Amino acid sequence: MMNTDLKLEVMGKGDLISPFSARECHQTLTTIPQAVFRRTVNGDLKCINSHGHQKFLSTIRCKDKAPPAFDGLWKGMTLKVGCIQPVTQPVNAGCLAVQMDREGFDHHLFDYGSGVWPATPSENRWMSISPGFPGGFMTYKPILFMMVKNYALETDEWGLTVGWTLDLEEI
Amino acid sequence: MRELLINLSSLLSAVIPTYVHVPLKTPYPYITLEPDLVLLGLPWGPRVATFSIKIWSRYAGTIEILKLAKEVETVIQNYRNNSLKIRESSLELLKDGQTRLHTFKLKTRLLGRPE
Repeated sequence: MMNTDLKLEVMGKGDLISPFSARECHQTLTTIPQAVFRRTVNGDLKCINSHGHQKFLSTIRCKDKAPPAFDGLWKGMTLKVGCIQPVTQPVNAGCLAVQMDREGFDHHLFDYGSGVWPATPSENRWMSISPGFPGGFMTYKPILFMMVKNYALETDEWGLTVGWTLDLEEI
Repeated sequence: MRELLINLSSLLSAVIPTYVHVPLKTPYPYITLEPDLVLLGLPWGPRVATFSIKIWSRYAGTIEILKLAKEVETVIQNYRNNSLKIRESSLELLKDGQTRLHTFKLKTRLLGRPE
């Protein structure tokens, strides 16, 4: 039974998504508020940031029939999150390989006319692209290692629904 | 969607006869499967489908249709190929005063390419 593409895995314990717990999920991905913007004496805007601080925040929420397996889950624990929010990057015409920013799954390469092209995964997050690709986009769902910042569970007893929200930050 | 309807039809036929198109003079009770909407997000992506399972009964009273509804609900919950989310469940007596209709409105996410 395939409820969702979402994966919430506690390392060594397994996936937290139980049946009837994660249908019609919503996920947001946003960047951590780490970058500092400053203007030079000439008025040009500069971003003071380092590559190592390019991380994601995410909130996942859902309203379904059962809670996910959050018992024993606490702030600070690390989850391997298979996101349902895809990310996409442009791919130039004639490009033979592109590197994804993160590990991921469900990769799809498509041209400007939305025609789908084959792409083969290779090492270090690179994807090989068939010669003759006319330019377009590569999309995939990232796999992120994230720390639990908080979560909430909510039951509507007579409505037979369980809602949950999970706040995460990439480690 | 067609595969889903065929599979469900096969499983529900173990409860009572199930049809997408009801033959003339079909005796009651029976089940109909009624596709509603298929949303295709992306060429490669999953589709979201809504459809109804309707139980039709002319038994004098509600015992038959409630018993059948329970059996159908079990089939829905145990269906392994896709997760079937029950959005709404209703029971009504039609205007003829003899026919009872139990409707399950369902939503599911279909993987793979469109048929």
